[in-house]
Amino acid sequence: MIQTKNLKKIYTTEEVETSALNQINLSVQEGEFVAVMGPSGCGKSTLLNILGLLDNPSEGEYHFVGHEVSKYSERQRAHLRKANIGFVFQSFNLIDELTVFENIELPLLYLKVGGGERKKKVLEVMERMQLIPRKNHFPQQLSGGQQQRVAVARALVARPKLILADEPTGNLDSANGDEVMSLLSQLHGEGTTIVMVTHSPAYSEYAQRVVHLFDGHIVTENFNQKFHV
Amino acid sequence: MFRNYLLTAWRNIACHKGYSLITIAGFALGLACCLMIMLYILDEMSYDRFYPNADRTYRIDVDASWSDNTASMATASAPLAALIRREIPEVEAVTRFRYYGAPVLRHGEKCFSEERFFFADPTFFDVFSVPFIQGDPRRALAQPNAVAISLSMARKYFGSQEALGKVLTADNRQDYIVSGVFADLPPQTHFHYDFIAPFGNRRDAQADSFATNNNFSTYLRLRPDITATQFAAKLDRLVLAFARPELEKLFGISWAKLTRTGAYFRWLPQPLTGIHLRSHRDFEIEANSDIRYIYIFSLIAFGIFALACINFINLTTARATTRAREVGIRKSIGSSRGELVRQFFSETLLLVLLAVLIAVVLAQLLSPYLDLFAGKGMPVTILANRSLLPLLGGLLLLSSLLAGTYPAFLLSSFRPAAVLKGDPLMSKKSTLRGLLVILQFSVSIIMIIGTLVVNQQLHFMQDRNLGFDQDQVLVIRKANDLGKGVRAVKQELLARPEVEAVSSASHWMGDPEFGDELYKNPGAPAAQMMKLQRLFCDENFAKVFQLRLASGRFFDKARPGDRKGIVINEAAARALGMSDPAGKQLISMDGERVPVLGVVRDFHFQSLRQRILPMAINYWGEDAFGPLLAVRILTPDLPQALAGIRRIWQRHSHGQSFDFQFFDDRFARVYAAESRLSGQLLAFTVLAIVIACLGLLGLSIFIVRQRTKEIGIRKVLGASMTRISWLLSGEFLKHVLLASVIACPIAYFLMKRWLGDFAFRIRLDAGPFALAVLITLGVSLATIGIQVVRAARANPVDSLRYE
Repeated sequence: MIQTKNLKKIYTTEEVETSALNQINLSVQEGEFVAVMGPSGCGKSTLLNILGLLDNPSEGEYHFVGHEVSKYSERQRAHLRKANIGFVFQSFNLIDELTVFENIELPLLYLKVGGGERKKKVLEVMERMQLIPRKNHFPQQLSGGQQQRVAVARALVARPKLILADEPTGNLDSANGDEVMSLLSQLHGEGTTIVMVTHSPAYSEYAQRVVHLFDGHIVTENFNQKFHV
Repeated sequence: MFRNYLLTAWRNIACHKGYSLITIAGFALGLACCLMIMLYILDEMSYDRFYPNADRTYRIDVDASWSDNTASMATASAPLAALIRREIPEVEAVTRFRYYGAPVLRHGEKCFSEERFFFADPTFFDVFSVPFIQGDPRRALAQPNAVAISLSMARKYFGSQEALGKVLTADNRQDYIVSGVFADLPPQTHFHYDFIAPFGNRRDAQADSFATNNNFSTYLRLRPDITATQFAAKLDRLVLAFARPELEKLFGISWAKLTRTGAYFRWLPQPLTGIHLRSHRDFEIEANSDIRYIYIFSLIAFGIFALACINFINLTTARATTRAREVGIRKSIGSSRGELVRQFFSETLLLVLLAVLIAVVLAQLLSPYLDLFAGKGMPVTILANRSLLPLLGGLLLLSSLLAGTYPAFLLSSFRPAAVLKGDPLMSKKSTLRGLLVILQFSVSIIMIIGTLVVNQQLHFMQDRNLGFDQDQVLVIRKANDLGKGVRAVKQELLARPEVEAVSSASHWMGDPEFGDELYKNPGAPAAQMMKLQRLFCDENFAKVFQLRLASGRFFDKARPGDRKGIVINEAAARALGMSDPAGKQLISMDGERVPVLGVVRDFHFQSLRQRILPMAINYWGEDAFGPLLAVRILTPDLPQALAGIRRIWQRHSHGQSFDFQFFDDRFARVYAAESRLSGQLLAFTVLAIVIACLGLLGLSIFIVRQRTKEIGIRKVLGASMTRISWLLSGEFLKHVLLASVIACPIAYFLMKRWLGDFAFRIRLDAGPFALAVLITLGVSLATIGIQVVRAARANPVDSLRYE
């Protein structure tokens, strides 16, 4: 599903060039759950942004579902993104002015899904995430765990092929963190491809494979034994 | 999707009440000003368009120049109308009318003095076709004693009875039979009439001179197949055929020689619809408005609209920092840039819609204070105005486009990866925002300078020594209606201790026009006839108005010969090229020798807009009386003096009303236009400043918030409160100073042009410019002060934690 070849990302300011990613060669198969780990500033989020088509690499190739997308324009990326990728962020990134229902509905609106079907799909995913009682609440009225559940629901509602999670448990206590991880795990069990950035060794255990980044390089790739028995 | 846009927009407005209030209030205030000004401009442009075929209707004006004289008249000679009808077949209809003063009309017990009474040709309603409610417009003026009256006059005199055939008696002398009732004229006309009577056998209407005695307003309607230019060319040919011989005879030289000196005589077609704004000639029927005020107010409207849009753009883009995350989220879950642009446009549209609705209410509430429609009978409610809806629609679209485009494209351009990470979006010093703030300050400074200069000029005119004493003078109008009874009134008035002097006069000082008469120095050729303004009075005129003599003497009733003489002003002496004319003679247009008894020092008998024109004061002698009776009062107890004068009047007036005014009150009206402009400018300037301040307040809130972390760090490192305050306000101060560099030359140019219309004007010095910059600095510092001080006083730990 994902294949990168010699991927590079360089940030240039007036005087300084900073290399955020260097020679990244990574492939992720359909249905795989990959965790990306590494210290702060090693390029985890940059990698996730590029994989999620939020940003373009400076050099190298990126093949996503068979398309070479590294030179795609913002318009092309937006088009591909909305049909294929769901995001879960550390800081939830819900829109404060919209209710739980409306937040989850948003990706379907952008996909121009008709009203009736949209409602059905949103309610389905809300039911699964046990969010029905919170349907008309605004994000500020929810706990962190609940907000992240909404964010996961929003990432799921359009049934994307890939879910990218950027430290989804980073702002949560352990109970809520566990809950989110078991949700992701369930999704993976149902066949969704997941790439997750995390600091937590414990949560990286949920992934089939753990990629370690350091200073923009992939230093190691470990396969989780539990999935390979 | 659109529902989602509006929903987000609405919740955004509701969630950020302070921001929304500042944005909407500023915009609404700006739109309200624009709305009022545009309604005013549309109203001004609509004059006389209600007449069918208004675009084919013209007035014939006369332009003439010879020696140092120019005459530019809204009236023409008596026989011209008939000549045009005969010689130019493309003229469909032509008519003349003339004003002979306001008669006192009586029907039974009802008796009023009527200012809007005109005499006209029977073809009057062919050219001015107004709907008739009773009678036939084609035959209404057929009989010599007929009068056509307006509907409101019919109601005033005859109530619910049918007016047709009823009799109105004018000045107890002449009976008129009502022959038609026409619909009331709308206020938007340069010529308001309530009574039209035929000339009948009036001798002046049958005069046969084409070039002189230009006393008749002459209007006509052209056929559609002739253009104004073609018609003007035909008029030029008529001048050569009919006016030329008369002028050659009058000046005693050939046309070729006359024109070689630069002299000319022209008949010009003036479009009916242009009169109200563009015609400022002698003998206009009413004081017209001025296209320059349309330009001034258009500029103000444009400036205020720009201020409002700039506020909107600045506040929206300043808030971009807080909206950026939303943009990132929306993009990450699939929104395209186009969808975001549409979303932000919908938001702008909603904000502007709210602002427009509030603007209508504000305009309605503010309009009485701005006095834009002073005395013009605008509809009481703005909502009733027909132009309102299209105007609002236009404003809504235009302002959404102007104010919404930049923010929409800016906000939608954010890269999701960057904004979700919390990268700084743009540098804290946005160049565009800086430029817009400078522009905003510039507009404010220009408006403040304008207000100060107009006000200064107004005071200059009001306070200037006019060369005569206008205080303590009471003027009784229509005194000549008493006939010889005036003499008794004068004698009794003079017998009262509180009355110093009494004089009859033909004109008010300050009247826009006096009659004129041609005179020449006996030594000069006929072509050097000079035009002298003409005033009639009795021997006490100089005493009542405290005129000072430069040489010679004023009229003396003991010398019967004085009735043939004149007293001239210094300007006339200069124009005639005579160094000491007192005791000498002038030659009048009829060739008569006229003795000059004295020369009075120049006095401003007209507005200070005009230079002091040459004037000849004529003597009525004892038996003739003018319409005005001017009384100089000695006592400060005016009410008591007034009561005494009223009693004397009533003893002799046979029931005619005591119609009086204090001279200084009346003279103040000379500057009514400037006075109104000054008030309006002040009001609009205050509004513009309020709008700019609202924007500044919003902007300072955001900038302080944006720099919270920086302020915290600086304070940790030891910056004092004063340093922090300077840091934050310094940028605004720089903007004000830059704006003054831009605004002052523009304001100088504009005000120089405005002052150029005044013959007597203030010197444009640095005062108003410096004051305007100071005011702007003060107001803007006060506006941002609270934010700055609050930020500077905050505990640094809080600001760092906040970040």
